[in-house]
Amino acid sequence: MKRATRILILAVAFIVLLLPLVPLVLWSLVSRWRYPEVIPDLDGGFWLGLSSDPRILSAFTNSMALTALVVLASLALSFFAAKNLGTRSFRGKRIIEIALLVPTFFPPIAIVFGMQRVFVQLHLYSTLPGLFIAQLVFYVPYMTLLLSAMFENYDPAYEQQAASLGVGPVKRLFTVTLPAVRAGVVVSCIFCFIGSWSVYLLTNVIAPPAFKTLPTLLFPMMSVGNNSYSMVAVVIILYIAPILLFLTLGSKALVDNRLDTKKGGLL
Amino acid sequence: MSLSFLELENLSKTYRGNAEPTVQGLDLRVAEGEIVVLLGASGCGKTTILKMVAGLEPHDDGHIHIDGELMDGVRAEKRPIAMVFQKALLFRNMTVAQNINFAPRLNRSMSRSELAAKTQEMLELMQLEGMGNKRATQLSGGQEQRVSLARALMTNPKLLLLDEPLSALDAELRVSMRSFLKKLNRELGTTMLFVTHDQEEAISLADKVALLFGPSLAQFGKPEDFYTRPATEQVARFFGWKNLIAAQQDKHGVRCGLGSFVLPDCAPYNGTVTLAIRPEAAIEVGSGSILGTIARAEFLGSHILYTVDCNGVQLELSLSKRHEYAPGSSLTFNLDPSLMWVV
Repeated sequence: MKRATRILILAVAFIVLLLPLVPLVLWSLVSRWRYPEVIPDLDGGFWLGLSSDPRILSAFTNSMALTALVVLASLALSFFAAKNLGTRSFRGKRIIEIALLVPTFFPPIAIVFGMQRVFVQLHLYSTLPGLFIAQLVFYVPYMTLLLSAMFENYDPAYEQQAASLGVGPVKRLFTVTLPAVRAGVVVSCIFCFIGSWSVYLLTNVIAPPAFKTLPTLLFPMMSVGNNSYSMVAVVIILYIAPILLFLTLGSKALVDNRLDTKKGGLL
Repeated sequence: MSLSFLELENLSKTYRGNAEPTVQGLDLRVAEGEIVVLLGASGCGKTTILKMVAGLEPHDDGHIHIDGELMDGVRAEKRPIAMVFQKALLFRNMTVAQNINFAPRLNRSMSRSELAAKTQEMLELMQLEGMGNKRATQLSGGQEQRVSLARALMTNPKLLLLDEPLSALDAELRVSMRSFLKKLNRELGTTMLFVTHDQEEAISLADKVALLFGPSLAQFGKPEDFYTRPATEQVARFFGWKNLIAAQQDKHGVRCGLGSFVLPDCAPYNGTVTLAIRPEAAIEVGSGSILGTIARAEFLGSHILYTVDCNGVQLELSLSKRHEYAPGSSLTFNLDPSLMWVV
């Protein structure tokens, strides 16, 4: 690709993706921005008061911990199921695939309220384990489907080769299988992260009332109107920054993977 | 050579959903240091046998012993084997050297200095000097297969299993790799079980050949046995015995439309038999006592294959280009009893 074309693509990407964020960043950095000021006085805005509002940092930490746990648990629970689904053919495989799609057939509100009823009976309602399990109900099937598509192009003979050389199952997993499906794992984790990070309704219904995540903090904050624009802008930036960071790291991993494949490939 | 380094005893396997067994009642004994080739058409269960020996496929019945140890139920990574597959299966996110020392590096079975020295030794043995830092996909097909072989040999396996490792290579490379494998076998003394569907490959490489038809062993023996004493008509046909003629055998010999022949090595029998005659069996061409008429001549480069009609008996005879006959002309010859066999 020519250098000029690359610069043009980067410029368009910047305008489309990052330019809309500029007013948001400016709003987060100013206490006041009123007409007729064109350039506001950048006094640090709510960033300076962030440490004095424990709600936001606590919600950020809660969101990060919950999402990380959900992504890791979903990956662990779905990986081998996806591998079997992707690499083997057996009777009933199609039914399992359709069953995995079931959570997407119905409106989330119907599933969430149905879940609430069941969780009350199981004494999981209004508990953190309940919230964790409720998220897994959505993301384990989702991740299984994403990973199984990746495993359809995976050749299990590489593992057999490693086994026949005397390499045990755990080492095979980390040196043969995971590197081979790295791209699929990265993409699945990105989608799972974005989904889990943004969950609002489920957290509102299933989590204990005192437990706040960034979305459950942000949405009421935006609707009430007695908060400063700067505070809302800071919360929004805290909300979207990890998503952007994760997407950037994921894209880099995918590009590295592609280059690796060109040079020598994975498997 | 000690006896029965690898012993397969009444080995059977039927895949789920298949009515017919893939392997049935297989008995096979391989001595230490031997190259045994499993030969057969595609789908006859050769690879399944190899995978059962490797522990990659469970067997339904029978037993597998390697070096006197019962291997039933032992996981692949615990067996004293290494396998080379049809595809080189190189880990392409690794360099050539990392591929070669993959197993001992992961299992920490060698010190760093040992690992480096042995990897270098393997690179030299496989004539891959200076390629250790190359990526796996920068190699040619032959080089890939040599890396795969080096990776297997790096584990010092007692038994090396090779599943059609040369089939993806071009003809010239295949021949040189065959000599290379024989050289390795002589130098390292590694017992090898080699799978192929290529008869020429089997004959040139094997100390012994196990010929498989369907799920069972048709014949097991030295390569020359298949050319001199095939066990059945099917084996004879597979090994190019083009002439199979109905004959009568008694204590005096074998009689058929071509005359009487004394075949001293054949087991005594009284009754109807099939006389197998190799196409190269014609001797005393132009002066023999058997008279025939050339029905067809096919030029095959180094020789000519004639279809000869001898009193209603059709024979296919392979003659050198010194003997050129036009279709319709007469031919006299005799048959060499050492190239005839009763099946």
